[in-house]
Amino acid sequence: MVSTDFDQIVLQVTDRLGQTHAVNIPHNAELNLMEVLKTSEFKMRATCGGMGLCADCHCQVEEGLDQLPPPTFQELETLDTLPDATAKSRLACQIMPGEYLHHVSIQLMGKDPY
Amino acid sequence: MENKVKTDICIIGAGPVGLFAVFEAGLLKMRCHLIDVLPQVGGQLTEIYPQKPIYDIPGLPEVNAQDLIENLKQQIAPFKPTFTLGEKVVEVIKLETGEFIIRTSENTIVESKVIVIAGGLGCFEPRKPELTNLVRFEGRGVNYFVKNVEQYRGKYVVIAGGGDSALDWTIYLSDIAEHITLVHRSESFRGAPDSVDKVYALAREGKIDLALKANVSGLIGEDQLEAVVVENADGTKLPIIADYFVPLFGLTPKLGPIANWGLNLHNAAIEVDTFDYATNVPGIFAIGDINTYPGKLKLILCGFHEAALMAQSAFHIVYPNQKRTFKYTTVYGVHGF
Repeated sequence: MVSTDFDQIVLQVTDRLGQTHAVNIPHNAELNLMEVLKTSEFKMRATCGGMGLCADCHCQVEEGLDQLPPPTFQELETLDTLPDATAKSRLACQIMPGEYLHHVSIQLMGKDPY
Repeated sequence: MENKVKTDICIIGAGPVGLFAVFEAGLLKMRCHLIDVLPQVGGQLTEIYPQKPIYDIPGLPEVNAQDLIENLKQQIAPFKPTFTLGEKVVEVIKLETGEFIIRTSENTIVESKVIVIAGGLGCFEPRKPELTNLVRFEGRGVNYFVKNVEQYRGKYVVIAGGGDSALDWTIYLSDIAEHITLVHRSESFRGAPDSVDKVYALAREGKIDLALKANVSGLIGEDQLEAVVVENADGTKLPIIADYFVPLFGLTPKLGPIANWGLNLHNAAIEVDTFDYATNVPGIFAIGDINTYPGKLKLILCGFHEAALMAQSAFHIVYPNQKRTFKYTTVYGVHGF
């Protein structure tokens, strides 16, 4: 059952095979969104470990893009080098969990790394 | 031309763990040859985050990634490692004698008694744009690297990308090619300010064309590339004459040919025995981020430990008739070749 109150932040994640999953993120999560997704068993290689440099965690924000904190220069610089980036692109490792993620919907980009 | 090398240990991957393996092997009098697809040593530290600080190398409270690589190069120098850089290992053959023949993309042949795979997350390969007939034009007008600049003299070249390498090659080739178009999906560049200024200046002078907020969406040609289709943000499409299309979207690691060497894999990592980080193929070890075992942590410091244990077992393969005695460097020092 998907929680709709704010006991938990619920994010919709469409994986690289097109399957959509509801991901619960605790309020006190200290991990960035890439790490949260990795912990939730999504395939995340994270070559750079979360520095916004490798784009392994490239995603498109399908709903709720305006709710998110804006990208940093580093994130934009990395996104600029990608062939498949769009105006909706973000790097999950550069997004810290917060209530603004509630009901946000993202699509993981690229191919499964394994 | 075929280039032949004979060594005790062939290390595939010249990142921090591959480099340190030279030291551990050297202490046991084993010579090493390293192969890396990148044109420089250092692996992802040099390629992805050279200026980032690392805080978990024992004894170094904070070290810049590139500095760590420089220190490792210095540390292994007494053991005179040899290198094949900018080449990819494409084939590994195990001879009946137990020795290995390793062949690279440029036909360098390495003969070794032991192989150590220290390949990190795999082979760095160019990110490719999603274009239906891209593969058909690879080597027929589509190049992911600029290797021979003379190839572009007097030619029509379309470069795609917004990073430093797209900017730098646009500037460099503007004096060589007949015409350059730089296609970038954003309306601005975030590369090195100097390069950005130069590119804008070249565009103002009419020496290059800039197609901003645009993508290359198609390739046209028969046997050879003849034109690319540039699609603007508003959906309008414009064919541009192109002898060459050079997409420069950075590099990303791929497991690559390692997957075909008969090694047991799990989630794109090589399964090893934690006794000595041996793989299921006798004589092939895997250390660093490329391996997996229960409790594996992808940390440089873990890779260093793995290198030390690997070397102890590799010794028995390289010197089957000798007894190995463990010596501390503090007692015996470091004796190079």
